[in-house]
Amino acid sequence: MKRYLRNRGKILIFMMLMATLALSVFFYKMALGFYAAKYTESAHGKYANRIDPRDLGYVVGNCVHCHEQHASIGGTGSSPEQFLLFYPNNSSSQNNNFCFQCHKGAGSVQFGGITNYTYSKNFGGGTQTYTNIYDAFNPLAGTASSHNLSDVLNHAIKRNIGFTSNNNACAVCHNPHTAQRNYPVALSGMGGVNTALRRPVDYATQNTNLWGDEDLAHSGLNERMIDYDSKYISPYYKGGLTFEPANNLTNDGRNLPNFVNFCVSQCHTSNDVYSTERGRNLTVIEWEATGDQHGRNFDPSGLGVTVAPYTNINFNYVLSCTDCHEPHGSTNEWLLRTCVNGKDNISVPGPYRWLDFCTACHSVSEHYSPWDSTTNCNQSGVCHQHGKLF
Amino acid sequence: MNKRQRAQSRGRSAKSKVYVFCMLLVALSSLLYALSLDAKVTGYCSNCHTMHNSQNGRPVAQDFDGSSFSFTDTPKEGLLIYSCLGCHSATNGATWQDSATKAPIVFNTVEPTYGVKGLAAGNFFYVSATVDDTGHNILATNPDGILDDTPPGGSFPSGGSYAGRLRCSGTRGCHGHNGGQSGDSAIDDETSALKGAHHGSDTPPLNGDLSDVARNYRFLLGIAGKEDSDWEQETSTSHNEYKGDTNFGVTNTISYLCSECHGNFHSSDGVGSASPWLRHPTDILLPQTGEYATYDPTTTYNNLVPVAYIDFDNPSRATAVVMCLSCHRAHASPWFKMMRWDYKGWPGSGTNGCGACHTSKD
Repeated sequence: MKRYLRNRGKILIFMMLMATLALSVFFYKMALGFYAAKYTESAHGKYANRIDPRDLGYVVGNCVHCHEQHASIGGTGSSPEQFLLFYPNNSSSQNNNFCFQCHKGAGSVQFGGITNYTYSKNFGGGTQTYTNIYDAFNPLAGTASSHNLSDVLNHAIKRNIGFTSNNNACAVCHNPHTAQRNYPVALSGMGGVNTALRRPVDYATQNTNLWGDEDLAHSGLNERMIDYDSKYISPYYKGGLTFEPANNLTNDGRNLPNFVNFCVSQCHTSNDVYSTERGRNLTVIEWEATGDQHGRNFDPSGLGVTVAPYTNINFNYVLSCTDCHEPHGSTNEWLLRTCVNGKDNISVPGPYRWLDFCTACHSVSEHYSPWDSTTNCNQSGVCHQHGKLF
Repeated sequence: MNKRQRAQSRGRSAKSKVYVFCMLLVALSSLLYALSLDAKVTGYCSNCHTMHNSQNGRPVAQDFDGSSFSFTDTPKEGLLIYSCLGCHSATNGATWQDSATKAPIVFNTVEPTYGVKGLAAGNFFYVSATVDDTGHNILATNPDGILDDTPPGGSFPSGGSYAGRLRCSGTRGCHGHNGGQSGDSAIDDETSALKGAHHGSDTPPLNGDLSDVARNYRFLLGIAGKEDSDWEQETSTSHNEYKGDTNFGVTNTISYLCSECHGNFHSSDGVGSASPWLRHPTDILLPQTGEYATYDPTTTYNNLVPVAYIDFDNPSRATAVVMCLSCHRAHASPWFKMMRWDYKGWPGSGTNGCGACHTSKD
């Protein structure tokens, strides 16, 4: 007791120090609120390897693979470009965008080239279509479709969330300094997965906050589909024995970023999203209880006649945008996937001729005829589309 | 006077003595400090000069070829014994200041073992002994294999041709009269370009003076700055303070000196005037927001990534300025393109010096 009394001052100081330490950790978490993703953990930090700098001895992932500090390298000067890029930014160009200097097939300046398959192939097991980002954004004529980069950037600017015409359109969805390789699916260690996404709304204030890498406990946000809605069930991976996106038995969305929040929160949330391709503003995506039945609006009638794994008619399944859509581009219209719920080689042969597509999840046994491959499922807006019988 | 008054009187007297003692200490310290900063050459004339280049029938002047010294019958200008480089070099790796002349050593023929790979500007060892793209190529025997004599991003301040090797001073050099400042006339000869500088006073303040080479930061004509007394042989207690500004047209900044040859890297046309920059900017304020907010060089000096200040006598975070020397050593470094760190090898074995400012790029 005497010893305690003699040392109680020291003990008190020690306890105060420990308390301060604990509080500082707490406040740090409160102050930041998210895991600040590191460049060295990003796809560019790990794999960027432009041919010219590589030949000069720069290591993989070095800044020089995108940025030339003085527009002069190895004695060769070049025209200085925005953001010190080695090639013009061409911020909203669909076919000459800076990012395509590496992310394309022939002519890629990345040593060994880069292969980026479609979502359908990587996460659904489907047959290969596009093998790089450039091709996905520049589909051949026909029924193919893609996000229009000019529309994407213009909309982001209009939202007043920090983007300007100087920003590269790809940076609306991706932070090039933090975007991670997301295939094969890998757990992040914080309850989420390695992800290439950063929400547009986070650009100005939380640019290093990836989307989908943290669970609810770490992030405080619903970054994963399971956190968005517990009624999310993953579609089948091709073969029907495993599930997307990891080709394993996990099917509750814990390994899938919350694409509903990602796609809707700043972009498809109002009817001011202009589509050059359509020549009009796009339909609002309403995924809440009063919206689409593919979202949280429950249809107890069972008329949807869904197939496995969506067979419980008393269960209000909630889908992810990527269950049906490619993020970059598709050989089908409306960026519709070519492999859905395990069904591969889906083709949409003409406008709204979706029979092949919809039957990946629905039986048409209860559907009014006609319903063959020539049928227009939209019927000039009378039948199926977002906001109506969807 | 009672006992209490006597005690009070003794107290006042003691206080006065302490006060006087303190004042004397301050005055002495100031004097010693000033003397220590005055780099005016002192000592025997024969440390640097030879009157006839003849002593006991033998020459005194010595040539230095980058690795060793040899006596020469050819006298040197200014009655000097050595060339610039000869005087400022050492044939071992430990010497950072010549014991006789007190000259700072910028060239060790053996890899330097002191400081951060040399003094503040680095060490020419690295461009002499290893490769030719790690420093300013001042040795006749070691031109840059790619650039040869052409400075990237500009031209020599004299506006002349690129013919001829880079030198320490003069028309094709950094120190002395190189013609890089408006109003200065270039002097081609290395020695003449620095005439009088070593005997002048470089006691602070050094704000750039075209009429007296000594009155400039490191004899860099027109350039202001505050010199560390040991040239950053160590930086834990003191270090250089560089002059920066937010206007490319201000001519007494350290980055302006670099731009005399590398103009495209320090101009609105070459760099831009705001983000998105075209080249990495210099002479801009180090932003205080976003990822830059966490780097405060006034509280945590990082010798790897120093900054300049608009008022270098009163450094403040708000007036911290990015400069060429934030990333590069002026003479040479172990790293490609005179970087202060192994940029080329990062990530991997290299160092993320960029991350000092770009804190989110880690």
